[in-house]
Amino acid sequence: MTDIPETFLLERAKRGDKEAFQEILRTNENLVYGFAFKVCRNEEYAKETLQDTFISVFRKLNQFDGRSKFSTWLYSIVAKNCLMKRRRGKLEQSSVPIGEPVMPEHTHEDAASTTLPAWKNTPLDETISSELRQIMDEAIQKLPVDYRLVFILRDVEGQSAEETAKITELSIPAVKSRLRRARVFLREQLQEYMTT
Amino acid sequence: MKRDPHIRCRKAFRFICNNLDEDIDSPQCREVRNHLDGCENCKIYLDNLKETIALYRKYPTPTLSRDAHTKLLKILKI
Repeated sequence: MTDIPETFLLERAKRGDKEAFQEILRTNENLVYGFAFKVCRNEEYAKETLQDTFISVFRKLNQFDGRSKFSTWLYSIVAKNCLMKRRRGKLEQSSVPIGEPVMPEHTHEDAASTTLPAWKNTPLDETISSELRQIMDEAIQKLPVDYRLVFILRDVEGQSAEETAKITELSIPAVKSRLRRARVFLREQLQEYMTT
Repeated sequence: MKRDPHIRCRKAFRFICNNLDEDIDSPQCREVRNHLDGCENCKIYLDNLKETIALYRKYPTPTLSRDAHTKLLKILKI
């Protein structure tokens, strides 16, 4: 069934074809689960989000009009479910307010005397140590969920600013602002580990 | 009046944070590149931001177990 075009499968699933729905689920479940995990940083929450997402897809498939990509629609359902989890107090126990990014302590004029320490070399093909993974998890969990969503969609999942705005129901300037703040915040959080 | 080829770090900082992933060739982008050529701190900062993103991209994502897939099919009754 893997060669059947998605639009055809979607049409069949909308008419109640369970086999077509199973195929849609099979081809998209890891996208949904992976994205949910990256936002929730918790396998159980990611599984709950996966279930909630496909229950919504199953119920609302007729509302998908094909004007956006199916993956965009899926991402938007996952994002809504993550925001619901936040409302239930599940995802933001350790988040902190994120302000306007502050420039690091240097200016061009004093660059000769104040040089930022370079980060440790972490080759891309090297596995991330468990210590660094923990620091990365703690860092991203400090971000409010709406910032996490934007950072993960743009910088990790590779969605465009326009797609991210659609998925999160934010304006493009709001996406850019959250992304800028999230990037700077996460860099600051990793700074100590990466320079010692 | 001749323009200073080295824009200040604050301007570069804002531009870098906003346009990290965009390969653009605007006059402002060229200006920032010129600045980076002469400012080690800003160059390090840009590298740090890129490394931060690269690390989160590299962070391993678990795949769904067979059991979880089967449970999902049961829940959905399909």
